[in-house]
Amino acid sequence: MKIRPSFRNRRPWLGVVLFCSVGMMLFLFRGWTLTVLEPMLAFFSGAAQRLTSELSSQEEQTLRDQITALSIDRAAYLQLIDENSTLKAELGFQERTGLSSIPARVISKSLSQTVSRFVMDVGTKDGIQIGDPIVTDDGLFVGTVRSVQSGSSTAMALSDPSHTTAVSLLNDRRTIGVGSGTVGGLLEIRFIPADESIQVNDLVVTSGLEETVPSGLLIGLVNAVSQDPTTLFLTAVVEPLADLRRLKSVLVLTSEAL
Amino acid sequence: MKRIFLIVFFVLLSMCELGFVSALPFPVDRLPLVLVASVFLFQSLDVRPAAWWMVLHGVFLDLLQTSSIRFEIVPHAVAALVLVLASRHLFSNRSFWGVLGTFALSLFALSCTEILLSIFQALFEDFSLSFDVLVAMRLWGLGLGTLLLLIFFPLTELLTRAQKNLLSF
Repeated sequence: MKIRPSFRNRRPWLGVVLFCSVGMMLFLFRGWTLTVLEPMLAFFSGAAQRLTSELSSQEEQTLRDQITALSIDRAAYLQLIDENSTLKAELGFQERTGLSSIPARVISKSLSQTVSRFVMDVGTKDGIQIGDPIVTDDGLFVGTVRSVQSGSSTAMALSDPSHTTAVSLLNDRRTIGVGSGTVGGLLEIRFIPADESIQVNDLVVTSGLEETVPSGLLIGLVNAVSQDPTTLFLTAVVEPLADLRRLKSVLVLTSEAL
Repeated sequence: MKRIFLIVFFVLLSMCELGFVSALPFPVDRLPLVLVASVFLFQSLDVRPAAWWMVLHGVFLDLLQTSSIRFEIVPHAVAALVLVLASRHLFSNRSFWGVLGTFALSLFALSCTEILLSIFQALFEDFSLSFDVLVAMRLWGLGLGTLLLLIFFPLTELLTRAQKNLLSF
């Protein structure tokens, strides 16, 4: 084995200190360092791409281009299928109820334990007003319009803790009440007289007692019924049927329809 | 002058790995060019700053944030340490097998430290690294690095003379 001079008569710590300083400088002036490095990276990357395209045959390149074009076409086709089924469902709801509505796309959502709101791509220029009810393509009630801008509007979902809805239960006595949103995406109907007969899985719909919300819009199912022993009232927990997390498009029922 | 030349050479080499080699089609993109060059220059041509290149390459990886593992400087520093120790105490610098052994051991140290770091990283954040992919990548790297060393090792004498002439000014 070839013998090399030992490190002992050198000062390796000096190198470590120097290296650490250089390293820190590089990180401190990261922007400048990247400004210097990026043209070099671009040059080498460009050279590799040119080399790769030179090496790959013309036929392979053509096939690759075809794969890309077909992938784009397929993505557009799948989107059209999705859009077609959504429009068919919306048309079915409108024909069934006779209500006029404006289709809207959900462009942003804020769903958590304490808030359930979403933004739609329709606004005042489309005829949207504050308080307009919103339903899914199948007609499930999801909330009302909270604020309106020119081209967009923000909706408060019925499960939002600060949202209240006049509801009616499809039980024997057609119990009415006020449903308010609770944490966890559920709805709570409080102050139901204790002599009302409410069963789990009873259907809950809008009662029509609100000025802007028509009656009969399906909300959900009763999930649990409880009674506070200190009061004479029942509390029903309602699970909304519309899944806000999967909501992509909705219908806004306009005031003229009501 | 010699130092400046070595720094410029390293930067070009590192950029060549990050920009050129990584843009080439599989499996050539798996070639650990800086590691191969560091081992060859350190062990065969006795260019000692080449060990630091490994660490600096880790710094560049952290600067560019192209790696999924944070603190790439750590595995590269470990690999550099293994390179120095293996070339000084384990393997001869006169045979091809010695250089290949140092290269394989440094690559092994680099991979092991990367796996350890990824496990550590997975404890604190949503991070997953496929070990199969990492092992396959390193095996390809070992094969390609061996090929590159096979090409350059016979030229050691020639390169030593060229190095003396080049760095004599």
